[in-house]
Amino acid sequence: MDSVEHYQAFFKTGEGQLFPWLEALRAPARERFVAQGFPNPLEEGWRYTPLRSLERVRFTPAEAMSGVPSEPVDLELLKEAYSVVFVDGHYVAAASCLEGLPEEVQLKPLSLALRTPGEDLQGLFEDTAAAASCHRLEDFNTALFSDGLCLDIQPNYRLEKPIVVLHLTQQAQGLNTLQHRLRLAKGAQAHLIEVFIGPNDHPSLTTSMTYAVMDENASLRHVRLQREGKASHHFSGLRLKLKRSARYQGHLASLGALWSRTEIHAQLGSSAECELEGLLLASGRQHQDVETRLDHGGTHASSRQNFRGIANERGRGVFTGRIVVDPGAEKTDAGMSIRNLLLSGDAEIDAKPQLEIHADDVKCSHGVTVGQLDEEAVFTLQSRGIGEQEARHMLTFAFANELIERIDHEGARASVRDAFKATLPGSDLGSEL
Amino acid sequence: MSASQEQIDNLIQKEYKPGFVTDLEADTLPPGLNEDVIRAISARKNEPPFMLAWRLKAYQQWLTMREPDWAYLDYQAIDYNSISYYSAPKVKEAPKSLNEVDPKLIETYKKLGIPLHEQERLAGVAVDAVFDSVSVATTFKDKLKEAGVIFCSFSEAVHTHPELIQQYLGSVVPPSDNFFAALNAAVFSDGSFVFIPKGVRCPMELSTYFRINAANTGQFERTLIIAEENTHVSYLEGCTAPMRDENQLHAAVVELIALDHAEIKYSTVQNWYPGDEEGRGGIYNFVTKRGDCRGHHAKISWTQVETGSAITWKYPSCILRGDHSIGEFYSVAVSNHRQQADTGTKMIHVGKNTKSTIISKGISAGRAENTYRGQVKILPGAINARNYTQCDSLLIGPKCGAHTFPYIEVKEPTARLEHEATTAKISEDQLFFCQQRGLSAEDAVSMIVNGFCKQVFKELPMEFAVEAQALLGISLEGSVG
Repeated sequence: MDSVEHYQAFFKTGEGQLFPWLEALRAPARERFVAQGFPNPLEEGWRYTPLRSLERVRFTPAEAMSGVPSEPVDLELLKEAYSVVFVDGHYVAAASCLEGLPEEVQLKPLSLALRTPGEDLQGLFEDTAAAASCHRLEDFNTALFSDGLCLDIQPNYRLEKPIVVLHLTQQAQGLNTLQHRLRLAKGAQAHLIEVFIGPNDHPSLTTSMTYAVMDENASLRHVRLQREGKASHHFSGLRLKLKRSARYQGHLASLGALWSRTEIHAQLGSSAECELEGLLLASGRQHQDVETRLDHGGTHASSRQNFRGIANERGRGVFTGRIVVDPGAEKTDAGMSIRNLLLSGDAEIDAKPQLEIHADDVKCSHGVTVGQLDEEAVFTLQSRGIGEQEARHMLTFAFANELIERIDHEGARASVRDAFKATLPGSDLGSEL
Repeated sequence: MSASQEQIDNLIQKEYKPGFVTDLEADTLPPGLNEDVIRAISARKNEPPFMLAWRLKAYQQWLTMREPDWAYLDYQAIDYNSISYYSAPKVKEAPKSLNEVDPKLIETYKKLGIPLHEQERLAGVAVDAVFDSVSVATTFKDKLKEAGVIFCSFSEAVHTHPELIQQYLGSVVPPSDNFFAALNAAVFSDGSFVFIPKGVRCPMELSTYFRINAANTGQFERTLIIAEENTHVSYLEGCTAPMRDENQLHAAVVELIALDHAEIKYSTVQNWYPGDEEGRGGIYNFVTKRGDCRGHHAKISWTQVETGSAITWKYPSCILRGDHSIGEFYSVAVSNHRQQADTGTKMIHVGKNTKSTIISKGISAGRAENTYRGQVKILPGAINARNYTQCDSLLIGPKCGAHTFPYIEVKEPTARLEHEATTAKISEDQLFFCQQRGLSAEDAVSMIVNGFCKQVFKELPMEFAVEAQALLGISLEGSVG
């Protein structure tokens, strides 16, 4: 049985009666996935990221909630926050905390919302349903997603407390498929922190798609920390629609998983602002892939992208960043920088920064560097009595920390920093860092 | 801008100067491609059997290949059976000296500004001129022979130096490399051959002029340059074609081989007919150019000024195999009206301490699309490899496009690589500043564009630099206003 047939058995059907709009979303995705299967490396978008290891394992979705999370979760982060916890792809009410949500904010897990009569979810889904999905891993997610987050914020409401979304994997060979839908009305503000955690000892597959529509002047701050288990596969995609003067600020730390791909696609309307920062760490045999695509559709929009990658041991870091400026999108200001540290002879960095420009009054640039630690800096530290190994660690940490420092939420910053320190190979740094 | 409508109209109407047709009797094969055509080409050129076998094998490979579609180009499918694969000016016997070359041909080259007569020579550039499918004359042969340099047409080299051809032909760009390389290998009719023996510094610049004249033909030439140990050669290439409403195909292959301490400098000013403002006609230019630094301390430097062709698909590359070898790529690609250019380079670092530099300047105007596509690949073991890449695009007008698609693959931890790309337009402030000082809008644009391209122009040999600047002016005429 090939992998497509295996997953076909888990496709969500039978929702057509109650939710024709959901069926309308799933049906074409199902068809495309069945017809074409997983993406293959001959396709341009997947040339550096083969899916062989993902296709080899037959992952199975957990039927229902299997219990409360077995391992303690980042308590520091959950303080002073609303929290939504998904275990093996299902919402766990007992572990979540949504108390005290103001009425301007609609926040519900999808599984619950679908059971609530009179809930109008169609609006959250239709804005993206029209846009054809860009590849079959996204189709795979659409065909299978079992739960997710529905967030709808009323105009001009500023939600100060962050929403923390935890994705936990516990089941062996488990398949978690989630789809989150966010809508921020005109002038609304939110702060979302997503964390992906999984066990080290057995493989699992998590796919998570987030669709966010941000109306005029809406603003979203978003931190994503991926520290899945060492044997797991991870795919997460973000599709953003930024209307006039909307603002998105995203921080990504992709540190875990054996195979990981993170996609960020954004459509920018006039005067929209999009800021993306990301840190990648590929060590052991890890494969870390980040793909971004920013479509500048309106005038005066600006985007900044700042990514750093570290490839060590047999790790591989892959970056693809495409900036597209549509005809008429004058005064676009788009910049992208990708800096990499390549620390081992078996590691690899691949970068594919791209500019596609169809308007003339624009300022666009991208820059890529691949290099090593500065030997003089290593020497300087050694001359101050620090061992060579430790000196290298300090410098590698500093390289990453420059980005980590820019996360403005203290709890999230600490979580990312701790996770990075724990993942950095051979890390036995003292507490002074 | 302040240039009056009349002035602008005058400029737009300025014609593509080399766009005339020379009325010559030609020996042309009927359109179509099959084994018989290949046999006929080989027979016309009186080739030894190994060449025919090589061509037929390439043809068989070509039949199994698919035309590449990854480039950012949009053109009507090429019907390979409607092209005539061989056309040569008719001569009763091979010309023994320049005096026997058809005076009409000489006239054509005069019009193009290539002095074939040695008396009219320009600063000692030896020229091999290829007219449609055959090489018509090579100048300065004797002087080169004295130095030990072999510079002749490809078909001549096949007869006089078959051992060199057998050893090197297809060793850098094998027929199986890509669709157009295979097609070229099967049907190529002529080209230039250069061999610089050990220790020789070529006493003058070598140059080839390519001219498409006949209608409904394709031009397929092949250049092979071999630089042995401790040599230096600078080679220039220029091309033009008449103005016609239909598209013509040009698929060339260039192979460079540099052994220890050899240096090859290859400069191109490509000015094939670009088609008219509406995109009618023009040359489809699909070229495979690759240099192989086989020896240590070898250096290959590509400089190109691409102003012509309706479609350009061209990626001059360097394989840096030898330790300490150097690869360079300097490019100015201009596209105006409805031209489409997808061009760039590949630098493959294999040897230790290899270095490469890529400077690419793309200028897009009118409704043109200009794409830089490049790859820098650093293989494991290429210790201390170093690459610097800079791609700048200049946009003139709101309807054109400029794109940058670099691929960077690094597998060596001691390598250092930098890549930067920018896109911008000529700012109103710059223009205003120049005009305030008495320059016309056209002159100001021309000056700014020349400044933008300066890094590349300074790499060109003198005569070419002058020509390139003039060409740039003509290509962009009518784009500002």
